[in-house]
Amino acid sequence: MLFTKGASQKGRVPVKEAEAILIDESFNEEVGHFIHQGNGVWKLEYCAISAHHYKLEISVPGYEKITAEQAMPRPVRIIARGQFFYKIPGLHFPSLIEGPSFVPNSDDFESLPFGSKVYYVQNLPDPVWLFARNFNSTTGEYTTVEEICTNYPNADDFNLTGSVYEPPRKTDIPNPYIKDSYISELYPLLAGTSIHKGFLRFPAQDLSEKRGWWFSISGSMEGKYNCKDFYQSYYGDQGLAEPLASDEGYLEAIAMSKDLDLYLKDAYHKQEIKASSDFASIYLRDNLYTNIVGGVGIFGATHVRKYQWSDEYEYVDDGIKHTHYAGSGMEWLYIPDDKWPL
Amino acid sequence: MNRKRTNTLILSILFSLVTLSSFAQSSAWDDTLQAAVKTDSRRLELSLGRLQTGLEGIRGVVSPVGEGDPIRWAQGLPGVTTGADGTTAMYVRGGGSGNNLFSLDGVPVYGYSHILGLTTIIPTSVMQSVELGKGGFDGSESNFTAAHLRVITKNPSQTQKTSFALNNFLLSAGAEGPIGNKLSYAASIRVSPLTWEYRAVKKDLPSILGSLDNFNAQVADAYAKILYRINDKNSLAASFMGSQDRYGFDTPDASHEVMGWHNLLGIVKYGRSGRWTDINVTASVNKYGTLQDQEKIYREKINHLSLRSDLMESGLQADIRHRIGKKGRFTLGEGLNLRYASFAPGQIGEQAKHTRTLLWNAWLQAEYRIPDKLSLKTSARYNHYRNYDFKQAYLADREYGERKDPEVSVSAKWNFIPQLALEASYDHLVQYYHTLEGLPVGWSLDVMVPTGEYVAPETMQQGSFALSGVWGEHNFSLGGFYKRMSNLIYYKYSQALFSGALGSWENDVELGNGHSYGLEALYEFQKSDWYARVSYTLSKTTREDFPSFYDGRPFHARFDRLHVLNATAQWKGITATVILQSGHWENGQSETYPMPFLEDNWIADYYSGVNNYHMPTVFRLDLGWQKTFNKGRVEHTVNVGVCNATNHFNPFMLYFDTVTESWKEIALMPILPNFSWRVAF
Repeated sequence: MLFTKGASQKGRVPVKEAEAILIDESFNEEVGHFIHQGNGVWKLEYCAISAHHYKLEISVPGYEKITAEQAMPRPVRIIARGQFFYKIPGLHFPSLIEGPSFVPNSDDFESLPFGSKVYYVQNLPDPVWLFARNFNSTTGEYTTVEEICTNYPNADDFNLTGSVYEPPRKTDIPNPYIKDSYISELYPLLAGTSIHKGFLRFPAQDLSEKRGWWFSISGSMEGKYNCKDFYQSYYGDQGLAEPLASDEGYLEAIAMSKDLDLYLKDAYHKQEIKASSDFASIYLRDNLYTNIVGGVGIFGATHVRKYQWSDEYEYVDDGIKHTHYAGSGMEWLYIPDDKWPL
Repeated sequence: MNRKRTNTLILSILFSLVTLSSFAQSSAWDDTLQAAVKTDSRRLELSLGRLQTGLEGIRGVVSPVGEGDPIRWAQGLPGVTTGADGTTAMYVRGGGSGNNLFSLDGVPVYGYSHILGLTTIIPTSVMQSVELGKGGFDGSESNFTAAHLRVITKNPSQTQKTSFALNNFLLSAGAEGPIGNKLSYAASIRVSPLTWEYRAVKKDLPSILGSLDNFNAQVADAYAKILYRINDKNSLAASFMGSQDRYGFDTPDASHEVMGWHNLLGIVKYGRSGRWTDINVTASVNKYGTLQDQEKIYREKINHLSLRSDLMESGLQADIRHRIGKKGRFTLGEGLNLRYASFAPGQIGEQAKHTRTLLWNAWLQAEYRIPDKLSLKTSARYNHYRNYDFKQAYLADREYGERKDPEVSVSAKWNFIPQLALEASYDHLVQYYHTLEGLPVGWSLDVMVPTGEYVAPETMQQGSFALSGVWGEHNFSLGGFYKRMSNLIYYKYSQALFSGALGSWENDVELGNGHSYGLEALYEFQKSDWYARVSYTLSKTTREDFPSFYDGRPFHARFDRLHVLNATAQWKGITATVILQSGHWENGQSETYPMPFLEDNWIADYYSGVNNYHMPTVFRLDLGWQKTFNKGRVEHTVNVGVCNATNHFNPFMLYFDTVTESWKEIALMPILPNFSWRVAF
């Protein structure tokens, strides 16, 4: 907690004397008092409960009472589904791999072409921001992928770069079945989709009465994927098993509380505009979104899950050499019509 | 607050160039009834809601581009306030600039500004009359909630005429004449030499022009009209209007930016004028588009942001008016108006989201008029609007996306003695096309969106009254108005020219309400070589119920100017105009606070109120002189003038420069000499 700083003030003044209380309104009980840690940082050791409604009450001597309310986001439930290695006309996804019972085998899914790694979403009770984290083997650190795209139909498009995705291709790959070469293409479903700058945002949605969506994600990903729990990673909705290997790239889905989501969007827009060379940006003079009554800032929470990501790797299956490229992508094996059936 | 003064980037370039001016003010005022235009009349007729002038009245306004234009003429009238000083942004009786309708022969023109907002795309040489309607609207007028600025083009002459004109912003040529006995034509083309002028001035005066490089302007417009006089009563006219404004430049941080807008308008009009019945049928196609391209280095990569917005509209209008009774005092009118539009706002890159709408309305109107004694008019309109691509919300019929709204206008004028009249009017209007209003500089870059999932129809109820009179050479009008506006739209990031936020504009709009009330006064004097006009407005305009602003409480509308005074005096060829306006409202000084943002921290601004800082008073003195003379068959018209003759600094915005840690004000129009030369033969 800090006092706002006027133009004539040199430094920021932290709030040292205050009583800050967290209340679980779902249970109608006081959770505890925040303890001042110094430099304006106040801390409460407590693990919040998903979907519970919380209220923050802060009393600072000489000022009006400050309050804020928010509901904890619920866990992200994105289902990662298995992957396919080449296109076989006439065959459909579910006929090859049986998923667990909670994975729907809808007609939509059957219509997907082979060669696509897919995820499934039906309900998103809270907005979700998706980031891809690359493992940098040189620095040993994770960095956020700068370009990412999806064919998820409801993805927000306020952070587009203006570019579109062109699936990487490898040509002249030997094909023992048809004694000819084939072209391997990563994420053919994503061809022509818009590139987003740094992250994807999926708004909250309730499709309980309808089908969900299968979608893919790709971008400038790097880093290996080490599958420890094949079943959960390929079919589950709980994300990757932690801890991750030190060289493992991943997809991070962050469910945001409603107000935090609004704040982040607003902050993103204002930062982008002010950082641009847009000479009209100085005219942008509105307050940031806040849910604090009697103050400014944001009272929010997140729920994070990590999902599969993979690096390029090769394996041989039934005498056929398969190559996977960065981004958990699948090959798309083009077999000319006159060569089919094999 | 210690403030420094500076001029803006692009407009300072334009305004630094020498411009031309013309003057010789002559206005004509018409009442609420549609009537013949009186361009040379000195007997003025005042009316509460409608003010009209002819070609000379438009050209007589002293303007940075030499000739006046409809917007600048309207800006000098009561009830009208302006955006940034010197531009064509206009606000009428508390409405937004997007609540005004600008029409050409009855067909809406959406991107009407030209040369970075210095003038309009319609050349004065093709105009017959201009009318500003603020109340007591006609049944045929629809889909706006503030004012209607109606431009009527003249019919081509039956004698051959050619003209050329030159000023620093436009080179123009025009011709009109007969093609056989029944056919005649008129054509005009204007091209701006702005790019060459910029390069010439940039070379010699680089410090004045700032740090923009490779400035390139592609500005032009063309108009053509063909009239076929079938017989004395019937005629058929086809006209075309096209314009382009496109500006490109490089900024100091190696960003290449392009912005602009364009219009394409095609109109076919059939008219029949009989003794008892008038019929007009108009078919039109209208295309309006904006573009904002930015190519810059972003995180060591070239990032290309391309924003486009398009509106394509096809329209069909038909109206019939019957004069009834021996003296023709009673007029009954009815009509139909149909518009099919396709909106594609906020297209980023390859994305295109089209929304199709259909708006049709039918109207009835009754008028009764005893010349110089009594005038009564009432009109009712039924609107049927449909958004074919809507999803939910705001539309009354959620399943089909339909909206059915009535509109009504009533007006009356009673001359209780020959010299004095009482007037009153009431209007209830609905608007289905909305403008995400951006910078108040009159650029036609504002994105238009339709009523649909996130935006409700804007509505307006307005009542007004006035006392007007004529005493010899003196005319006056004194009245008041009260207006209530609902579902006004506010878009959070509309001021930014290059922001990807436009791609999801739907999520960043808020709806609120507004009120406006005030007094309007107008005085005119005209005698032999003298002409004078003073208009004054005292008004207050507020906005409220916007959830994210000031907790929904009322705040000043940005251009809520308490006092607006415009005074013009003419003697022979000399014109002097004084403009005195209260300053507009800005957000005041902010405090700051640190905030986390994803993996970073940044410093956010906090403003304690909305539009709570009153900008300085606007003062401007414009001077002009005009001379017309003949040499042989050729008529020469020369204008010399100067806008903002006192070089008064009229800031339109205020900002804190974090580099110099000081407040700065920005004004657009310094002292501007202007010159023009027109030849006609």
